[in-house]
Amino acid sequence: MIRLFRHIALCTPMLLCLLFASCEKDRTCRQEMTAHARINLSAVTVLSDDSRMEAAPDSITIGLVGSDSLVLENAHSEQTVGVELRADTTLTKVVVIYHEEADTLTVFHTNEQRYVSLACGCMVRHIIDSVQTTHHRIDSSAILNAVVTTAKENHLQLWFHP
Amino acid sequence: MNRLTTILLLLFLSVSARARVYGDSAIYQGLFIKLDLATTTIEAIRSKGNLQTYEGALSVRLKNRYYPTLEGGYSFGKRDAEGGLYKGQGGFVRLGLDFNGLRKRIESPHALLVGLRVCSALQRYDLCNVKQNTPYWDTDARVDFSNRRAMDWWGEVVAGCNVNIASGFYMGWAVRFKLLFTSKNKNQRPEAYYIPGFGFRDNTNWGVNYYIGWRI
Repeated sequence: MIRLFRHIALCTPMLLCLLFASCEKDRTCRQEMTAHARINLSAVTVLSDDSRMEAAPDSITIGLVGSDSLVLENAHSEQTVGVELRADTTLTKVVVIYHEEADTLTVFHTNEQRYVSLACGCMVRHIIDSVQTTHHRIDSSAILNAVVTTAKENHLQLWFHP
Repeated sequence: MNRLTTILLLLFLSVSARARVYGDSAIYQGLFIKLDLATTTIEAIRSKGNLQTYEGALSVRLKNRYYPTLEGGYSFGKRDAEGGLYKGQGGFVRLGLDFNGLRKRIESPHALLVGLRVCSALQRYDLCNVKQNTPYWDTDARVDFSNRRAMDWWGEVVAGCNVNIASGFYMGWAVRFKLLFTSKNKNQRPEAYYIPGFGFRDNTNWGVNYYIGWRI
């Protein structure tokens, strides 16, 4: 009995130590962390019987004021585009070029920084307060969902003149 | 604070005295002081020296069956993940009761133990160089959260043994299953990556202790 106890006391922990020493917490982030405001794009055509037909715009370029890179360049049949709103200010300007005419979509928003984990860092969640647009090619706009997170939902709607 | 220390010291001395006088009484069979070797070793190996934990335990044996136990320790930690760095230190306590599972020869100095613990840790920590995840605007924006304090609570189920090796000298081990009550990032605050006495923050965790101890 005493021998058995001594065996249990002395040998088992060594195996357990090896087992626990090999366990390691995952230090890689495996989740989507960037919130994109998804804009739904529709070109409106008024038919001869005054009914409206909506389709994806045939040639569209989208960029953000303050950045050199374009989000979309001369894209065809693109129904939805995701743009990253600014985390350092509460105003993001989106330049939309449709049929070689430029419009500016101004999005007013608030930002909330949310800590997720050490590996993943912080996620910036935006709440869209209002939008303003110029009307060269944009007919109208609407807020579909004001809360911008990493969920794949449409947040804004733009309708274009033909 | 001084009064509390005096009371605790007197209580400890009185229990020690009773241990010497009533060492083989039907109710009280001794006070055990234990020092853990496994946590210190495992964490040092696993973290390549970046995590250090030192812990010990105090328990009394009552009616050969019950072991009211107080465990405590202190941790120093430094850990990185994807560029973010956690630095912290703090203490922890665990309070609970073990039962001696031996049915035959319960008066034997050895014990097979199963028990429960309520545990708490208090720490001060920094999270440095945490990613902001705004890749379109700034590919490597980082933020620091400094001088934060946190208190965490968890419960444990413990199983192990305590074996008399020589007169008054004991060795033993314990395996622990830990369940965190202060849940994982519920409020999306910058929480500590590591909890002293619990391990890396997660809903559940495992631990192992390997004790050397003395009966006084």
